[in-house]
Amino acid sequence: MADASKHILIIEDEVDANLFMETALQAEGYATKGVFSGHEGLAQLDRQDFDLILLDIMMQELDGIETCRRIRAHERGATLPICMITASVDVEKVVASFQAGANGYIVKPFELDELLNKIRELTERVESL
Amino acid sequence: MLAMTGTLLEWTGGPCRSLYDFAPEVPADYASWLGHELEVDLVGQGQRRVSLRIGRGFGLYVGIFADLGERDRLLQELRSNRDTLEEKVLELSRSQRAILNILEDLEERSRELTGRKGELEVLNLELQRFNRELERANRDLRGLDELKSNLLSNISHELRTPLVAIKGYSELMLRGKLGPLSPKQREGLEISMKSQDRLLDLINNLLDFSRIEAGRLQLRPSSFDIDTVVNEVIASVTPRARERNLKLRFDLPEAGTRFTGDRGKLAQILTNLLTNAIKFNRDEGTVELEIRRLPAELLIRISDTGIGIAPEDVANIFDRFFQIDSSMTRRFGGTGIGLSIVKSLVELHGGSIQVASTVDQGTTFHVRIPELEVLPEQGIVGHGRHVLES
Repeated sequence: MADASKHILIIEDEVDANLFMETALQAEGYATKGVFSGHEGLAQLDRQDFDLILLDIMMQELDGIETCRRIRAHERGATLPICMITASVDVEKVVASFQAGANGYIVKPFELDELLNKIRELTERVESL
Repeated sequence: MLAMTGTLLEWTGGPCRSLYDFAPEVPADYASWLGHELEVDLVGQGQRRVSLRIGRGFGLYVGIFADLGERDRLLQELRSNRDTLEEKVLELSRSQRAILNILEDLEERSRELTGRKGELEVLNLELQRFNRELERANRDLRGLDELKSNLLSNISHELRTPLVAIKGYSELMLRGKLGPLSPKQREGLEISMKSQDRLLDLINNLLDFSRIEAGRLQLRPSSFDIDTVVNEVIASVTPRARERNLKLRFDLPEAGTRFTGDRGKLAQILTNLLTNAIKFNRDEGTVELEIRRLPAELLIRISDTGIGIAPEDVANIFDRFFQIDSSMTRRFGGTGIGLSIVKSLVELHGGSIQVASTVDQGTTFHVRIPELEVLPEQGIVGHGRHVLES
C-alpha cells in the first residue's frame, strides 16, 4: 500500500477516466482530488499543496501543455512532479510537455501497474532530491 | 657571257660584215633571220638591245632580241594562271550558289521556326495553366491528406480514451479491489479483458497504418541491448502462446549484445511476426525465434508449425488487408495489416523480408535489418519515452 499521506491531483476532462483514476488510486491508499479542467486544477493549487499531478494533455479550453506551464509558474508548482496523460502517441506533444516542465508521461489506455509505478517513481524522485 | 635561246625580232644592222661571211651555213639575207629561233650568246646586258655573236664568227651584230621562249613560257604560265583563275571563278560561283541555297534554306527554316515558336508559346500558356491547376489540386490533396492523418490520429485518440475506464475498471475488479468475485464473474471478466486487448491492438495497428500511409513514419535510431528489447516482446506475447500450449524456442545473441537501430520499430516487427506465428499455429505447436547479430546487420528467423500459406497466396501476404479468405478474419481476428506494417517498417529500415511456407507444416520468415548510425541531432526525439524521461 502506498503512503496515504500522498495527495494526488487528477486533471482530466474525461469523466469516466477521471473517476477510474480516483477509484484506483484510493484503492491503493492515495488521497486524490479529481477536477475536470486546467482552470479547476490551478484553482485547487491555490488552495492546497499536492505531492503529484496527473495531467491530461488533450483538454478543451486550457490544454494540458499550457496548464503544465501555468503550474510551473505557480508558487506551489515549481518543483511539483507532473505526469502527463495522453491518448495520442504523438511524439511532438510529449516533447512539448517536457518543454513545458512535465516530469513523465503515460499513454492511455494504461495498465494499472504502469500508472502506479509511474506515480511511485515520480514521487520518490522528489524525495531523493 | 650568257647563252640563251631566243627569237630575233628586228635586225638593226651589223657593224661591218654580213652574217653570211662568218656563218655561211645560214642565209645571207639578214631579214630571213627575223622570227627565227637562234641560239645566241648574250654579250650586252640590255634587255631589248643586245649584241649577238652568231655561229663561229666574231662579228658583232646588233638586233632586238627577245627571249621568245621565256615569253612563251610566261604566256603559258599566264594561260595556265588564267585557266586556274577561271576554274577558281567557276568554283567560287558554284560555292556562291551553294551558299545562296543554304541561305534560302535557312530563311525557310527560320520562317518555319517562327511558326513553331508561336505554337509553342500557345502550348506553354496552356501548360502554365495546367500547372497552376495541378498545384491547386496538389494543395487540395495535401490538405485532404493532412485532414485524413489528423482524422485518423483523432479517431485513435477518441477510441483510446474510453478504454481507460473500460480496461481500468476491469483490472481493478479482477484484482478484487472492488469486492470479491465469483468464479463465473472472474471468467467473464477475463474474456472481456482479452477482447479489450484485441481492440487496443486494432486501434494501434490502425494508427501505425495511417502513419505509414501518410509517410510520416521516421526512423529514430538508438543503440540498445538486443536481449532487452526481445525479452520485452517475448513477455508481451507469451501469455497468448501459453493459452494455446505452444512451445517457444529461442536462439538469441548473448545478453548485452548491442545494436543500433530503431528500437520501437524493431519491437513492432518482432511483435507482429511472433503474434502471427502464434495466431496461425496449431495447438501445442512450436514457435522458434532466432536472432543473429552480424557485423553490420541483424538476421531474424521466425518459424511456426501452423497452417502455412498456399504457394499462390505467398505473393499477397504483405498486401494491406489481405487475409487468405474472409473466414480467417472471423477465425483468427485482426485487420490483415500486420504483415504489411512489418514489411513497411523493415523497408523503412533499409532491410528485407522473405517468407517460405508449406501448407499444414508451417511458415518461416527471414528478416534482415541493417545497422543504422545515430545522428547526434536525433538524440532527443530519437529514443522516444526512454530518453524523454531520463
